[in-house]
Amino acid sequence: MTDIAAYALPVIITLSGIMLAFSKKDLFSLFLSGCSDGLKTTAGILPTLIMLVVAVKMLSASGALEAICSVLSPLCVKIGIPEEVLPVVLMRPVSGSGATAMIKELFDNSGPDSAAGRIASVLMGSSDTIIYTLSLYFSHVGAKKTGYALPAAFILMIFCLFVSCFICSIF
Amino acid sequence: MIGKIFSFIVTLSFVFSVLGGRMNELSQAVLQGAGQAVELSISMLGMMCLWSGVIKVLDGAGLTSLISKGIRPVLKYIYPAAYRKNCGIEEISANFAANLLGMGNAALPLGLSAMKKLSELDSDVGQRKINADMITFAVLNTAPFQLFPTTLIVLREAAGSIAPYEIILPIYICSSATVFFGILLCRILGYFIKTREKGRKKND
Repeated sequence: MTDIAAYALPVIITLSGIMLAFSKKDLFSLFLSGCSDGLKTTAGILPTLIMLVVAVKMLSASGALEAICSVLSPLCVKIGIPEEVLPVVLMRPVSGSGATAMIKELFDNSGPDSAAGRIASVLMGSSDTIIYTLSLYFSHVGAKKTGYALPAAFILMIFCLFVSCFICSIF
Repeated sequence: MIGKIFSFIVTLSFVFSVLGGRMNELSQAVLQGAGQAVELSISMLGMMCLWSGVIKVLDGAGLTSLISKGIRPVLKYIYPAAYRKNCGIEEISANFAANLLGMGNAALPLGLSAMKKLSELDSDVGQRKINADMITFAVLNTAPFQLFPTTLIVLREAAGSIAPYEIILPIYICSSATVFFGILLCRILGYFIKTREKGRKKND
């Protein structure tokens, strides 16, 4: 399974390489402008990331993260989720950079290949920030009410959490 | 929003440190955290640049328009009202393609203009300006299907994972399940609310 997954990146890179050779458009300048976009995006999120990584490191060093985990652990055991994942779960719907900082802390403490690390990875890869997306989308059309969008998005996220636990127990 | 999260976390940490006598650790965490965020950004930088470039090449070669053409027939079942009036379908499919390739910067404006188009449909939830298709679209955008989760893979790589790509297949499975469930959930909730509204109108 890992072998197939390892194909993904080289295949895509080669594909774009072939396109560079055969297309009549100047794709290489597109490539370069895309690269500098990536540079801008990464530099753009750095200030937020610094604030949130510092905050999460503080949370971890103060023992608050441990306390949160231990409070929530009976609940976790009951529903079959490693307690280390919960900080990521709590942060995921609220802030993307915050979740990145949380998952970095999880990787540093438990390792990316641990059960918790894998579950958090799958959750992270198949969900996005809820609050930000919904508020942006609905405020853009000037809607004050969001109907059942918020509960639906949260149910979806919880579903996603359970599916990622289930899948990680198989693979 | 982020400001509130920051102040909440920092205050909580400070209180816990005072109570637990861990002020030295806390001060060390501040010193290390800032540097670690920069290290993280630098380790992500190369891959983010490369991937953004590759995606732009694929986009320029017509892959995004191919994907959005491919997804269009399926949208009939997800956004029935919008499809019937052919309103916003183009933006929705382009938003899907951009999300699929992980072009968040491109997906957002497309999503917003799709939302605008959808809001011009007749409302059928009973609330002004909001309709079922808008809700479905916004909810599905909180769990987009992504072909290559760049940030995540780089984070795993940076943390010394022995198999950073191993989670791609589980993510595909989990993400498709989530998208299907999301469509189903929105349809069910939409139907439920619609019948309730109708019942209320009858009573009036």
